[in-house]
Amino acid sequence: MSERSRGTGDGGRGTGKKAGVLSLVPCPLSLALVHPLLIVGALIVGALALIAILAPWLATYDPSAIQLDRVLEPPSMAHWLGTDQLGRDLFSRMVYGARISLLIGIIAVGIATVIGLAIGAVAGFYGGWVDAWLMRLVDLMLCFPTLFLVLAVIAVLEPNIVNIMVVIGLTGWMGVARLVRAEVLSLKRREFVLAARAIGAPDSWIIVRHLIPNAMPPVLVSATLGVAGAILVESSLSFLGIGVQPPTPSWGNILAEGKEALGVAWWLTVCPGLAVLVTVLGYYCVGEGLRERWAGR
Amino acid sequence: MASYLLRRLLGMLPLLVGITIVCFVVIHLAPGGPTDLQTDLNPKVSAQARARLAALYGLDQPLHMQYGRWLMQLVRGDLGRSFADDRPVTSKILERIPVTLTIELLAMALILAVAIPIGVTGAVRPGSPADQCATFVAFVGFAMPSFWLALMLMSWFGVRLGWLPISGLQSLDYEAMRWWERWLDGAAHLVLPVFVSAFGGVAGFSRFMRGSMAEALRQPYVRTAVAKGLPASRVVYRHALRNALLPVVTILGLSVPGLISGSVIVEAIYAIPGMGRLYFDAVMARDYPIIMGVLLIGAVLTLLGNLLADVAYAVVDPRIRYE
Repeated sequence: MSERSRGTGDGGRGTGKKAGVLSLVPCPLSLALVHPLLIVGALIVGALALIAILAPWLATYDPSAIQLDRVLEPPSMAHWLGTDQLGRDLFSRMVYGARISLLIGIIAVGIATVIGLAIGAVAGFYGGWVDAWLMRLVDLMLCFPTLFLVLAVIAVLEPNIVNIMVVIGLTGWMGVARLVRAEVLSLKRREFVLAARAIGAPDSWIIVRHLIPNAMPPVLVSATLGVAGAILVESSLSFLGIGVQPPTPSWGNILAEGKEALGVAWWLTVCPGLAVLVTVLGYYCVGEGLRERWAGR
Repeated sequence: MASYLLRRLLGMLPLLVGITIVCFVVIHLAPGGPTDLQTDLNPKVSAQARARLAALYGLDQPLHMQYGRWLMQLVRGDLGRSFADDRPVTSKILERIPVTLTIELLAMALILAVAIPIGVTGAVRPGSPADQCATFVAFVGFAMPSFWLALMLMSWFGVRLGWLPISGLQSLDYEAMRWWERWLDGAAHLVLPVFVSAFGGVAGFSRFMRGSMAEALRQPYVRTAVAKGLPASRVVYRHALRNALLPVVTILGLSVPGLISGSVIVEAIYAIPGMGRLYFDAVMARDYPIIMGVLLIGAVLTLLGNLLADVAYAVVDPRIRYE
């Protein structure tokens, strides 16, 4: 492995060469099988996906049912994670919040990845002025601090779920575009692409069937890490009151509402914060695990 | 050097124009136009008044004319006036920048002071308990939502223990304090915001430093240094570390947008009168001139950060030529 990757001297993969940097448990065999990070991450991500899908069956109460005689109750057998200022069951709200957070994170990254794939592949494949202009566009977008841009657009439009997904997607594609461009640049000189050209395949066919599929591994890594980032942005927005609007529960706005009872009801702020932390950590582990795995090929 | 700088600055011009276009377009995404918010909620506003207001802001002209007009004002340093209090946007932003800059620079210093030793330790002894611990902390650092960290620290150190002030930059009795008390008071107010701003950065930076250091340790000159019998500490600190620090300069410049983004959250939570807080308030009140102005300044600061990083890199690394 090291012989070959050293021999190619490929700049784009340079970071991946530091195999073993991230392994929490040093285990030489694990690289060949499945990276331990990948297992930890997959467990977290899988469990969260199940929770989100099964939300209506897992929730012990209606997440928006107000019980004014059960306000701010600490965690108990009846209310596993306690209740909020309106007597709503925190556990049920968290479970539904998982739906919103994952939905926004995944769709936003889906949008970003599609845009990034298209722009990166076109720029890398055609080169010349197309490449120059598209990469200037990437530079331009990278000048804006992400949260600033997202906040501005959300302030101008409505803060609803669709807008949030689209805006996070539209401001997050630059990394993917650069990645795909670099991959395509090195792929397009390979024999199978030349062969496809030789038999007269149209550009679109070469890009979609040959270049993009072969550029996928690093894109998948960045998409997984992107979901983590998007969930952080969404929860930050919702926390600031410019994201998912109540009464729809999202971890960010549960936290924002819980903040008002910070001194008396710790569970309202500790639980959603931990949920975001663990979720992001899960996606992060999967992303890094995949990176390690593919870097070790 | 001077001609290199000049060329870099000229190269930034197209990006600057692009930035102004993006800022302009974002604000004009507003359905109906930026003045609607001022008029919508007020039933007494007649159609004529609305038209007059639109004319006042030049909204009755075609978009490219509006952009040209705005750009001309911009070149003269005029960003318009805030909807909220009718003060010039430029002066509102300028009075906030030092606060944000102070916090972010302190955060950067803290990041470097903590992350470099962590990274070096990890690279020198990979797989050691210290390294694994640092790796784990870095992962948590990446995943930590900064707003939550800010809130938890605030409730713990500010409210429960009462050790640190939880909002603003000065205590109420600031005026009555002696100079050294003022100094202490200011420092106490900065502890939590600077810590939260730096937290995520430490994670990323220590990992980057570890990689860079590991790369440097693999270089032939390190082997040579070891072979000629230099003590390990000298090899690590004089030969490897100096070279490993080179790319750090670039990363510092690239971390500017992240720090600026973070300032919105930190300043909103700790009620710090900086640029992030100004932006947050403007977003909440839909104060478009301020939003446009801060967005523009944020992007320009990022651009300057990149430029500084490139120039600094050229200065510290003699292999880079100014060509």
